[in-house]
Amino acid sequence: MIAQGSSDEVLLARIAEGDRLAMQILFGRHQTRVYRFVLNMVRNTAQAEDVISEVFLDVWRQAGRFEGRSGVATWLLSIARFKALSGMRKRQDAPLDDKVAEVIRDESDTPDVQLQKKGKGILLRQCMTKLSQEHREVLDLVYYHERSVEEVATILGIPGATVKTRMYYARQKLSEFLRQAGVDRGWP
Amino acid sequence: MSAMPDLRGIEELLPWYAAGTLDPEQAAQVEAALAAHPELRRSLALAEEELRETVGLNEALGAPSTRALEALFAGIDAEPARGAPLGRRLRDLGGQLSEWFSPRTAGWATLTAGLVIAAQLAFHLTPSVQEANRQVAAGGPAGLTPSFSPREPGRFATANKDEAARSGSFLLVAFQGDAKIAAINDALAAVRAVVVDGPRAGGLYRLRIGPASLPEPEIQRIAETLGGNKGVIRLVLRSSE
Repeated sequence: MIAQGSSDEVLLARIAEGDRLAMQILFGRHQTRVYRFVLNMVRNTAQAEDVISEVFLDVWRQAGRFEGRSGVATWLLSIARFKALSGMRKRQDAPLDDKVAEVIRDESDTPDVQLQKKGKGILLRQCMTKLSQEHREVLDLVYYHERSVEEVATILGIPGATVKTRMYYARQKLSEFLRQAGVDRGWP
Repeated sequence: MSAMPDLRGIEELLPWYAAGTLDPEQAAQVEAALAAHPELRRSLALAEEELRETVGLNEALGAPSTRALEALFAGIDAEPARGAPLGRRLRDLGGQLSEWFSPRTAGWATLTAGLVIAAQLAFHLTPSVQEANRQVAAGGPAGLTPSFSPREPGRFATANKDEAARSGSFLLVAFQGDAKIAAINDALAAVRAVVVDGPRAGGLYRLRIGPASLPEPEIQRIAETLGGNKGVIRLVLRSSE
């Protein structure tokens, strides 16, 4: 009998045999993180939900071919990235979602006023949203999705050394935006 | 152990160190560098701050609605049916049905019960009786060629597979994980129930308990009889199909 505590790999093996309950458990376990990863890319909640449905439908179809070279979570994020990028190429004129737009920096205040109003943490978040897609996704994968260097390399399809330098430059850019907003982190 | 990275190399690893996702060797290198170069701690503090805010930023995005799950299962329903191998389905029945594939552990009574259950499942769930016989024979003990006939009185429905699954009165049951084959068979035989489908989501099996004309009080009595057998039956539900 499948149990809620079964590992992702056990669930995948059951999904490969057509076990819908295993699919439901795997979906419930990973849907929110995959959704947030996709939403940061497509910036539209309806599209993000469409993408995660497609991601897990792909899992249903491909479960028997999962080789275990990366973890299941990494595999899911790889599929999600591919599908999100494919969708973005098709829907370049899609509107920005309200939820995502909320955190977009308000340009009307001076840096001092912003810092005073919002505090450093929120300012940092706003500067993160100004990062390029390439820099933002590596930040999310490392800090939020807790992917190792190798796992990020797998998801992005780049060498591990490139992952590390991309992360370094993303943090450097973040510091630059913060400096422009009146916060000097003293790094790099 | 690999060569110690230079300070720039250590700086590059600090985000992963803050996230706790470095391998032990690299984590040790970072810790050695932090001890030797305290100024790196300032950089680590910034990485920790970035981590906190990245997590906060993502958590503020909320969660998907149920629409995604509904769309997923609508897509799965549209896919071609994918049945589990007969062996997997038998293992799902309390985890004991695989015993009958092991001649040393199965007594004759258990073997017979297992044949009955396998035959019920195979007859109703596999594409053909011949295929079910082949699967049953492949797993049976040496020297025995098990077979079954859909016309054997008292045990099998004489209606064909599709007809048995469509017409009649039905219940949905889930079996206890440690239920023995013989006990399952006895429980079903006591109410003249036949397995016509399963396992479904939640480990549920659809039982045909009689003709469509079965009176409601009788259906209720059968459901209560099955539900009262706590050692075998975990759950009894009315089938809406």
